[in-house]
Amino acid sequence: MPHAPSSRFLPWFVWRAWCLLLVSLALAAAPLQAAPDTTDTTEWDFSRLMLGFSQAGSARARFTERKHMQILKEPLITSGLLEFHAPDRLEKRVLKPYEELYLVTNDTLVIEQPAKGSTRRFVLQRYPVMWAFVEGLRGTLAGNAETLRRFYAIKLQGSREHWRLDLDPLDDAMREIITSIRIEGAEARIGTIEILEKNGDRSVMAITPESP
Amino acid sequence: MKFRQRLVLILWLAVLAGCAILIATYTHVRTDMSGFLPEASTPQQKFLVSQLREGAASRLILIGLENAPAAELAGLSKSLADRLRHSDRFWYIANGTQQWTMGEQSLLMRNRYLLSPSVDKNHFTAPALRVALAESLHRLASPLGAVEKHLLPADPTHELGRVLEQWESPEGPRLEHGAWFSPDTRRALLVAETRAPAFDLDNQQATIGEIRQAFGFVSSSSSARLVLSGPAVFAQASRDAISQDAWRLSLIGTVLVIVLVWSVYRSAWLVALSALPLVAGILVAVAVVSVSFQYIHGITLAFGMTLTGVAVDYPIHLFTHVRKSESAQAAIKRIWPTLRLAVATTVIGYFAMLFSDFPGLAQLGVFAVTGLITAAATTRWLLPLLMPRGASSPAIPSLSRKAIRWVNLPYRWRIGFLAGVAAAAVFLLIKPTPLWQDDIAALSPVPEHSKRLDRELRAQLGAPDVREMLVMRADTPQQVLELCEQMTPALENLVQQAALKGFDPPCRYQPSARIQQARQAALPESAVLRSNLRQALADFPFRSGLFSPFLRDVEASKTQPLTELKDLQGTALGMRVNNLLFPYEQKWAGVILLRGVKDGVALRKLAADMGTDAVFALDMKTESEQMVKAYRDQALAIWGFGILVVGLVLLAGVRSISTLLRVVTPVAASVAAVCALLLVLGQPLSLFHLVALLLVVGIGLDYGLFFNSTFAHAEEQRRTVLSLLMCSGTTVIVFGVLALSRVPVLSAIGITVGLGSAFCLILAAAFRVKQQV
Repeated sequence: MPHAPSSRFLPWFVWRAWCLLLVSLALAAAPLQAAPDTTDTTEWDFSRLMLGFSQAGSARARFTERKHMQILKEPLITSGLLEFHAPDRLEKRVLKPYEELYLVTNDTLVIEQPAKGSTRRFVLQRYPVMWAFVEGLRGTLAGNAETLRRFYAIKLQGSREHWRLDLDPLDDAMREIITSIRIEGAEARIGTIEILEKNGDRSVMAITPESP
Repeated sequence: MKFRQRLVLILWLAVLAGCAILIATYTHVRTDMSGFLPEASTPQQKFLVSQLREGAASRLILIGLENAPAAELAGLSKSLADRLRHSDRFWYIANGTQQWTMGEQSLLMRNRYLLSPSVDKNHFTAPALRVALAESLHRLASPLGAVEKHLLPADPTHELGRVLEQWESPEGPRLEHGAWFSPDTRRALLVAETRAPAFDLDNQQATIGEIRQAFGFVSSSSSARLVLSGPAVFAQASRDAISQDAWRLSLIGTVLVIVLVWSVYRSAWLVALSALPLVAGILVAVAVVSVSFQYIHGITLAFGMTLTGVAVDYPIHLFTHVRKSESAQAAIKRIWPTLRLAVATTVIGYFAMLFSDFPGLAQLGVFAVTGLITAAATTRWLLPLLMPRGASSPAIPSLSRKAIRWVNLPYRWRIGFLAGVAAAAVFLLIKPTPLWQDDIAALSPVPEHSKRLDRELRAQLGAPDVREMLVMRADTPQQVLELCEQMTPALENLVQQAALKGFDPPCRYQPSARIQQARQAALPESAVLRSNLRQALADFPFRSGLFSPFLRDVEASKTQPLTELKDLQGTALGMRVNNLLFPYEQKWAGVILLRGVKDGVALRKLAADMGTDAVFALDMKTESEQMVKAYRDQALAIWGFGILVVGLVLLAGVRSISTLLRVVTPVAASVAAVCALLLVLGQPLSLFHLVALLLVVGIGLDYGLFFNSTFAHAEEQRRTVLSLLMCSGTTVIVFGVLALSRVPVLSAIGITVGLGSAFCLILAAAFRVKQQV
């Protein structure tokens, strides 16, 4: 008769998708933060970079994302707006070639597809890998480098004017999908986020800050 | 002691010992409601009873973890579920953490073209494929679809997604830290389905014990608390609560009665003897019921002991009437005519129940009749043997003089009592609330707070009580599935018309062979599909040759074996289907669960329109209420007949209409007054009250008969009045204490009998023949 109430049966691959989504959302939010002017002359390093990110605020940026996949002859290109509202609201609004909205607030992900008139709501915590990922990144955005280190092996190279941060996931389940997340930027500002997948596919998101 | 007397004693002991041995070795106590309820007469009732006994709903245990931070509760929920999943006592444990397993995934993937509802002739045309490919591309671009891409070459029409959507239920509990939670996140939630059926109480009890033990193990260093609910938990809790309360309160009652009895009779020996008739009566009754029915129902046992309770009065009559100068034999001979008439009327009243075709009632009848006859016989022939000569209490003469003054008070105020009874009768006639409580839940001895917890857990889990359903029966599962498929369009219509919110049919998860074959036939030939796909692919950026796995799989699906029930065995999928499609009475039954039914008439019409009695609509609550009502109606009819017979026996016994009225009127008036008072207290009458009222009638007739018996002299009258006060006093004490119970059944019986006994005494005193002797 009544079986266990269950919306637990979501395909396993959906969480993998969300991992990717969250990677792009959370990382994209990073450059949106108002960076403090680190005018002092002390040596620039990871902790300085984190300090820059740790100043939360509301901001917007334009993005263009190119997805290179082996199954496609040419990359898929989407573009739109990214927005971050402290402390936990992340928004990716695709404007071209169609409209779509991905919104993370606290522990909920909402996906709106205006063309289909559909709004779907998901709870992040169902997907432990992704949840860990979000919390890790939120920790980072709050200036908590320790949290970031719990989830990634971190490598920072380059200079303050042009740096590159390599985040290699430590979690096995995540490593099944993602080899590395590569973020390039200048000062406390991100220019691109590149996600390298295990199967050789990659996506590159170019970000141009916009004044709110 | 004479030889004959010794023989009586030995015979009596032998009978009791025999009964005790029989009970210890043979008696089987059944506790499921279905053993007490009438034989189901309609297909609906049969199905209902079988579902109550062993349906999946009756096997669910709802688990809540509370009293710790949410993150900690979520961790506990996961470790508890892990432990329980390793046990073989459960079909499954759900707590929100488990996804589809890889095995289930690949099973569904392999059978996607047979299981997907969208597969038809038009599904693989070039235009349809273009639409599907455009959607695929969109999914690839979105982060959500990006990782699905490894499935794309084999499944460009997203059939697996459609199949999975079928299985997803729209509402589920809130997820927090990866586990199910109540909306306020104060309670983590789990559901367990036990392998043991609901009626197998011992097995269920072990299962519950295992949950508690597992929780104790995982929560050893936590402040968290475990709450459980569900039919099995209820059954165990009520068994525990009843036995706890019954023991505790009986003990208190017994101690108080002993104090009272001792203070009057001043003899420990007499106090001990006073329990003999009741004990003997119960022993013999249990043995006789067990032998004649092969089992005794728990409710029969409880009700039967209640009804036999009147036997406590018999020795009291004897003890009070023994005078200093005479033997107990002489005293019992003096009161025997009245006592015999009292016992006979009660026994004949209960005798009517023997003819009931409801096993519960018939058992109760056998129990009460044998119990009372044994108790009376013990009082008549055994007790006097065991009472020492001159076992009369010195306190009795003075007490009995006081007693007669007390009972004169109600006689003086009888007009006032008449008015009170009249008011009660008028209230019953114009009462604003229903007289009867037919909810089967009200018969359950579960305390209200447990029921509240159950409602709370169900609401939080989004698992509302299964109430309404369509039931289909057929010879084979395939036929059931075909019936189901025939009804699905009409049900979808009803959802459109808002006659119901939704429905959950077995054929959604497991399509019939006919439908699967139709889908296979709708799959295009390889060459056709290849050409359609080539047309559709124009100007899409997919790499050439990407979709050859798709072509291969469609080709294979055309001839692959159909999915069968057994393919799903041992998976969460199979569990879901097993709950909706199962063997039933050597045939098969399927249920379509209905949510949010607004228009029951439309549903019954839909079932009737199928033109076969293989399909019917079932409202579990209404149906069970009707069964309870039928039960009660038959009980009332039988008791009505019994009371008529009792009247005739009484008339034959007292040979005077006016005495008959004096005996019967106080009893009827007391019953009316008790009913009115119960309703005023907000307790509609249930079967429990009815049985208790039956006891009140038995007690009341005794009081009336003794009050109105002809007394040889004043001493006799005084002693009779004292013994009646004692009878009533002990009854009020025992049942008054029972009224304090937390268990609704016990308190209902306690209140009813306690009040009834007091009313009967007062009214019998008020309306008695005032004899000057």
